[in-house]
Parts: sequence; C-alpha cells; structure tokens
Amino acid sequence: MPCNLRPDPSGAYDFMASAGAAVTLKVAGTTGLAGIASAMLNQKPLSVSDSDTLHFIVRAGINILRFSAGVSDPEDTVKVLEESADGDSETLDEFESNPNDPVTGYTIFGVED
Amino acid sequence: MIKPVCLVVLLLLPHTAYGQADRLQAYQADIQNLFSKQPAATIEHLTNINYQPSRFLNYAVSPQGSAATLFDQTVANWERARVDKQIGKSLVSRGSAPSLLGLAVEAGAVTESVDGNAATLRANADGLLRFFAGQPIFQLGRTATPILKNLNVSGSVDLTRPGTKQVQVSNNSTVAIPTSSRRLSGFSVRYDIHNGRDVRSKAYQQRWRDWFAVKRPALESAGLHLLGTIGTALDLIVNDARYGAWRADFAAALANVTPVDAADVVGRFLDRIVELARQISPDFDAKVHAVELAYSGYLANYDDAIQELNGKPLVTFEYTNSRPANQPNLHNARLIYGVNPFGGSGLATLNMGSTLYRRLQDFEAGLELDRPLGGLVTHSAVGTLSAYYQYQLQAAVVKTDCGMLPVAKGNMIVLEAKVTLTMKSSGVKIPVGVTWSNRTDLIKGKDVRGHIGVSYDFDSLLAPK
Repeated sequence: MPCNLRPDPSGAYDFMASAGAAVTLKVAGTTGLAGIASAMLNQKPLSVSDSDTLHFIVRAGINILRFSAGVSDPEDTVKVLEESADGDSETLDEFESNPNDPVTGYTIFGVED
Repeated sequence: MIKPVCLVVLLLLPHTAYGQADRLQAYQADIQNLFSKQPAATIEHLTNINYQPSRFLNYAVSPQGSAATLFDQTVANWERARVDKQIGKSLVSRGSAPSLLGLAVEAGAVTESVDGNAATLRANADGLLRFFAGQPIFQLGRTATPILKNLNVSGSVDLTRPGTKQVQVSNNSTVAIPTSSRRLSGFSVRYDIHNGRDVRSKAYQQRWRDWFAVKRPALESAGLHLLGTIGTALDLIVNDARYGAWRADFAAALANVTPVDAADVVGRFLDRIVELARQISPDFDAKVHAVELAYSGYLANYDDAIQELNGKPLVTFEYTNSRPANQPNLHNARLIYGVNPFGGSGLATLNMGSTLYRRLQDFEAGLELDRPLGGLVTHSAVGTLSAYYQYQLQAAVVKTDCGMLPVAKGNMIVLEAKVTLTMKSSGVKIPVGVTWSNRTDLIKGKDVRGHIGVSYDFDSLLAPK
C-alpha cells in the first residue's frame, strides 16, 4: 500500500494528500538517534508515539504540521519518513540538524476526492 | 622572582553594518545547496517559512535588531561552545583537536631577537581524508573509520626569514640559536584513547536516549508552547492564498536561478512574505517577540544535555617531534587527561610527559582550567588558568612557545592567565593573556614583549548554521 503524502508539483504546498487519509510520520537520525519532543497539527497538540512517530488524519484544505525534533548528534542529518500501512517507508524530507532551531513544519493540502 | 614573559594584546575587529547579506545569513547554506545537492528539497526549504521558522522570523525583524540578538544568544553551535579543542599554542595540551584544520598564526616572543611567526596546521586524519574525497566533514568518522577518526596530526612551520642569535650559556661559551628557519619546525600525532564526549559513540547515544526519555515531559511542555506561539505568528500567513501562490512562483524562479542572483530572488520572496505578515497581522512584531521568548525557554532544556556531555573524560596520547634548525630533533611523549569533576561547563586538563634525545631530557607536568565566561553555550569568551612544571635533567637549548632558549638543569615553573575571545558567527578566537616564569635565566630581566594571536577553527566555518 503506497504512502499518502506526495510532493506538491506546483510548489505551493509541501505535500498533497487525499482528505481523510491516515498518515504515520516519523523522524530518524542518519548516524545518531532522533526523536520528536512535541508536535502540533492545525494548532492542536499531537501525541508522539515511541518518541519519534506521529499519527494524524489529513483534513480537507490546508493542514499545518509542526514538530520539534531532538537529536543525539547535533551535527546529524535528520530524515522525515512516512510509513505506509504495510510497513514500507518513504523519505519525505531530510535536513541537517540545527541546534539553533529544532522546529520543522510542513503545509499539507488535503484534496477532497 | 616572577617576571612577566609574554603579554598578548587584543586585536579588535571593526564592527560592520547589518545589511541584506547578514539578514540572509541563515539561508546561505541552502542558497549554495541550490547548485550542489537536491535542488528540489532545497527549494522547498527556502520557500517554506515553517522550516526552521526562526530564520524567517529573524529575517522579518532583523533590521530592528532584537530578534537577531536573541537568536544569536541561543545555542550557537556545539562546535563553538566547546572549550576542549586545541587550536594554536597553549601551556597545556587539551584533549580534542579540530576535525579538519586549525590554523594558528602567532607573532612575537620573549627576547628581542626572536620575533618570528609560526603557523600550525592540525587535521583529523579521517576528516582530512574525506574532505579531499569531497564528502561532508561532519559525517566523518561515524561509521567505517573508527581508528582514523581518533587520530589527529599537526605540523608547525616557521614563517620568518632565517637568522641566528648568539646566546651565552655559561661564562665562557655561547651557542648560535637560529631565530627562524622557514621550514617544518615540528609535527605531532595525537590519538584519542578515550573520548567520552564523542557524540557518535554507543555509550553516548545510550545516555542521550535515557536523557531524552527523562526530559520528554519538560521538552513536550516547552515545545508545545513554542509551536503554539509560532503558529500564532505564522498561521495567518500560511493560510493566506497569496502565500501558496508566491511559493509556487518563487519555486519556479529558483529552479532556474543562477548563482549570481539566487540570494536576490530569495530576498525578494522573503520581503514579500514579511510585507504580507505586517499587512494581515499588525501586531506581527509582538508575536515574533513571543516566539523569541518561547525559543529561549525551549532551548534552555538542552543546557543540561550539553552539561552532561561536558562532564565526560578525555584521554589522549600525544607524540611531538620538534625539529629546531641546527639542533637535534627532540621526541616528546605526553599523556593528556581532561575532565570536569563537578559536571559544570569548564574543563580541567592534566598533562604528564617527557622529552627524549639520546637519553631522557626532562619530565613535565601541566594543569589547565578552562571556564566559559558567560552562559554554557552562549559564552563569548573562555577564561584559562595554566600551570606548567618541568624538571630539566640535562642543560640544553630547548624550544618553547617563546622561541629557542637555553635552559640549565633544574626546576622550571610557568604560570599563565588568559582570556580567549570568540568572535560570534565565525571561528576566530583571540587570546589575551599574561605568562610568568620562575626562571629568570630564560629572559632578559626587563624584557616584556607583546604579541597578537589569532586562531581560526575551520570546523566552525563548516558547521551547520
């Protein structure tokens, strides 16, 4: 089963998904450990599972996801992955950890079928 | 009698105006990445104000200054925060060396004839190898090269013109001491036997895992507050249709941009978003100020993680081969132990070693205390107190930090007090200090000489901004 988030080819949003899609998103370090300390979706707290995983449903229209990441190695490259229901994972984004700013966020546009 | 031997004077760098290039500083790495790696991901980062949002907020208010100051005061960089790195000369050797290169150029000396410059290059074997292979420096030594990552080498070159000076060593004899040679004057090899501060080690990762589990409630609470204030400041923008439309326009523009005008395009995009922010949110600056405070609260939680890391010991072995001109080569072996017994922000370093030439020449011991002056990760200076003891078993001409000097058999004590200023947002470090010695035969009594020292840690330049 494929992942739900896909890049927005127009560049207006970070990702597109079908409205109502269930997304499992997690972070991982490249060489060290990474975790999510806190997360919010549309200004509402999102619970963190296993210290590094988020589960949420994409609503129609603009969704704003933000989370703060923690890494064991301040110089690590952080990967943001989506896990599909059958256990596959796809890298959505990767970036160098910034000790100045552990916050990352994405705009996800939910498309009504 | 204790007399001043060296006086280091301060070099003040001119203050420059805060311009557009400064405002875009946090974006520079991504702007460069447009032409080197993963341009699609880089364009997404550049046009996404939620990606490390402090840089957009900083950009938005930086002409007014407040945010720039605050964000600079947060965790600048682990590399810049460390006091244990050895760059340039010191009475006592510290445990760590820069991953890539540390260049120290120091001028001045004890006697009027020894006023040469010395350049010292240091390199981490693994870092250097991968640097030349074109791999990222800060991913080095984490996986396949466990020995190389612990191995550091350095070489010193005397940069001044060759010359000699006659020095009286007894009542009826003198020796010609070369003042400089423009040649390799020495090299050293050091190996980190145990580095408790290695963030790549399994032991550290386990400690971090435990720390994160314990700290999570506090991080979550502070994190939710931070994310909430960011949302209050930015969500009106993100939900505005113009934001998405401009992102699309500028993403297309950045896909075809040239290196010459990339910064200008990014600046125009950001200016447009800032204008939108002020248009739809008249109290935008107040919201940004709330975010600043929230960042401070959140990042303060990491202080104890860094403090915990600081408390771990370092054990290093160092071999130095000194190659003074017209003098026999000397072999020096030194064991270095660095620790902070109180788990604070400072570092205590103990050295023990000996020099060999045909037979044992001396025994030496040193103690150095380094203490950040200011916040744990925000300090702009490091205070250092050093004590060095050497028992000279044989009379000899020895190389010191102040040049080639004749020394008689016996005890030698050198004390040094120093403040090293760190220039923010750069790897430049400027030492200011005074040194005393009990050995008046090392100097001419009234000779006091100053010198300017500038050291550069290239790791800071290459570290993620």
